[in-house]
Amino acid sequence: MLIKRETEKTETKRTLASGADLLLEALKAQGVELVFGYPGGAVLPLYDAIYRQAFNNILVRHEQAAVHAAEGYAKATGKTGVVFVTSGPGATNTVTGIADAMLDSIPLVVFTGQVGCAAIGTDAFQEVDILSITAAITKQSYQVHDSGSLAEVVKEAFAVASSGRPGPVVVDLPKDVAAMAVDEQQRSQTAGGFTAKTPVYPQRKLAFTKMQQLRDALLRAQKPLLLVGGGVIAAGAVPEFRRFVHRYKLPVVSTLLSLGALPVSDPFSLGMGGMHGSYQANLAFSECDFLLNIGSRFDDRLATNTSQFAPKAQVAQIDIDDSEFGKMILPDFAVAADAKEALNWLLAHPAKTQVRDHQAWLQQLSAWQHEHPQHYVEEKGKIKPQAVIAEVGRLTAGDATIVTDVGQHQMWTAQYYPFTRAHQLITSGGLGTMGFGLPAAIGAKLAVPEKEVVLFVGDGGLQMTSEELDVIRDYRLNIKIILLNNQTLGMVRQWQDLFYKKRRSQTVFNGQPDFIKLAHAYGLKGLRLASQNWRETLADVFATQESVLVEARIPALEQVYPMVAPGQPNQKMLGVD
Amino acid sequence: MHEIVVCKMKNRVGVLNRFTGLLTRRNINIENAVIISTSKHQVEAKVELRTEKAQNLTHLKRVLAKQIDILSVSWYSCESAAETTALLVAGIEKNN
Ligand SMILES: Cc1ncc(C[n+]2csc(CCOP(=O)(O)OP(=O)(O)O)c2C)c(N)n1
Repeated sequence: MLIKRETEKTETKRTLASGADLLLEALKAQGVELVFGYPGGAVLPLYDAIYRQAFNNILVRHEQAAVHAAEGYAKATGKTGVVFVTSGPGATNTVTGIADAMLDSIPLVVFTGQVGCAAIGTDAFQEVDILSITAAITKQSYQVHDSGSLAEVVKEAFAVASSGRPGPVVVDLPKDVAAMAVDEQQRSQTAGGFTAKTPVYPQRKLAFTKMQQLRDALLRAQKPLLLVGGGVIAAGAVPEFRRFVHRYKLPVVSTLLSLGALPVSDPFSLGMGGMHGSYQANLAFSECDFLLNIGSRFDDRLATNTSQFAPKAQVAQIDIDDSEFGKMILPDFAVAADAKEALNWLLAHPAKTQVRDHQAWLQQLSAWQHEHPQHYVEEKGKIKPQAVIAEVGRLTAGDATIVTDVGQHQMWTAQYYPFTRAHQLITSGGLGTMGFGLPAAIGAKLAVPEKEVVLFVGDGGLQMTSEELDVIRDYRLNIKIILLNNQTLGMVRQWQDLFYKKRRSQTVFNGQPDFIKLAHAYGLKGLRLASQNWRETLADVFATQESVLVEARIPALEQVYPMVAPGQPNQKMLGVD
Repeated sequence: MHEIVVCKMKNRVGVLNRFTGLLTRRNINIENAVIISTSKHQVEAKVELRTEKAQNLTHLKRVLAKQIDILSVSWYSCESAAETTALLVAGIEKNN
């Protein structure tokens, strides 16, 4: 999809090509339709090529946002997100986003400008060693020293970012390399041979014997449980996963990053597990006798106490990244495999024994769900965040692309939006990056313009990247921004209330900007919900085809429940009585 | 116990930076290191580590192995300093 800015004029292509032209051609050959970026001195040659080729660069207002937008784009599509920034501060501004992508396994290629080759190491103007700075938060990084190798580097960078366990790659591009004139031969090298994904890892053969053992143990189980992680979505294995669940009749706990892999309404879905997971999901962990984890990394927000996690269960783990085995929990069965391949094997190799129907176990699980359903208390004259999210779920028929920032609103969204499909929830899981939401929503909207895109954001997080409202105005995007304003840094305040005797240190804002006026300043519609007719107002908002910032003033002291305190076993939940 | 890790790596700029970064992050000190280029495209690093008990060495080994530029990882635990030195100096590959 190409979004042209009105002010942009396309010049006729010049014949003389530079390294930057070559780079853009290499990107096009990778299927890249748009990049998120911000210009500067070291990338002048690159931005000149962008101008001449009318390449689609989404001009963000801060480089951190470029990375989050690329993450949103990648999460909404499964494609690799691409970022262009200048050297020095442009490059350092990408660090948070790169770390975010690393922890959530999001495929990105970030091109950072660099000072000219001869100036590297001289503390030149806007020179930083971005490769060292990002070494710990990238899958791989490159510095290109001649335009002749650009094509190869781009090819490898995309292959690395998207294959195996996806993740971010940095390509550092010295200014002179981008500016260098390239001859016809180098150009033709770029044009050809870019379609195939080069496997960076040696192809692994599925270990059949291990799969058989895993399957047989799974079929012997009386109380089996399936834990689905983001890996299943990354592998594009959601259809296979759903067939597997129904064929083997397995109750499923989702992680934050896999919500939507199974519709929340599916009878086998127990919802999300972990710190703010559902009662039945967390009890299922403690009572199951067999736990099959596909593509989740047993994060500490999920397995809140690893030594007491799934104490009665044999644990099986399927993951493409074998360094996950035994990192948090030592599995009894471990298969290093692509989730799609493993699931296809399980579907194609039914055991000789019957699949059990697990009646008693499923009944037990639904009894728990009835005992302690996800709930909140309605208060007269108040707008409850959970109600707002559920109402948005109804208005969008559970089909919107949902983006969140980080905090309480993020957890309420995970709990109350009726997710139905993969790639639907875009949220910062591993790094928990405030400020992620707004730019990620922009990236998502550009990726899936046909979908309604809704951002749930807190008053703290919105202020971290609010400058990106201007991108929404600029590109005339239709994003519904639901600001759940509790006038506090809610999630931190919740921990202070629970674990620091209500000493609310630096978590209650002393006054706030007028968020409606802020929307207006960016030429966007903004309105505040009123407690007596907020549902009608929301319905009107979702009937329009333009961006609206909707502020819901919610009770400041609302808590996210259930909650497993950090370090406690999953079954010890606060807020269920 | 003296832990020795032997990594074959691509002979690329920054590859040791990545390798040592994974150790630094875990507060693992390098006691001794022998790094030689084994061919035009490869280097071999033999590194003795000081590790604490709590460290998950299996995990570290797998994390090292999954680096794009690290081609293979082998691990040796030696009883004595003498054994360690012998391994580092004599060439582990030949002895195995
Ligand atoms: C960049 C960053 N800084 C600090 C934090 C710590 N933190 C986690 S949640 C939170 C509060 C978020 O407040 P708000 O955006 O208003 O959302 P709420 O929790 O109220 O829904 C903070 C400060 C973080 N996650 N990210």
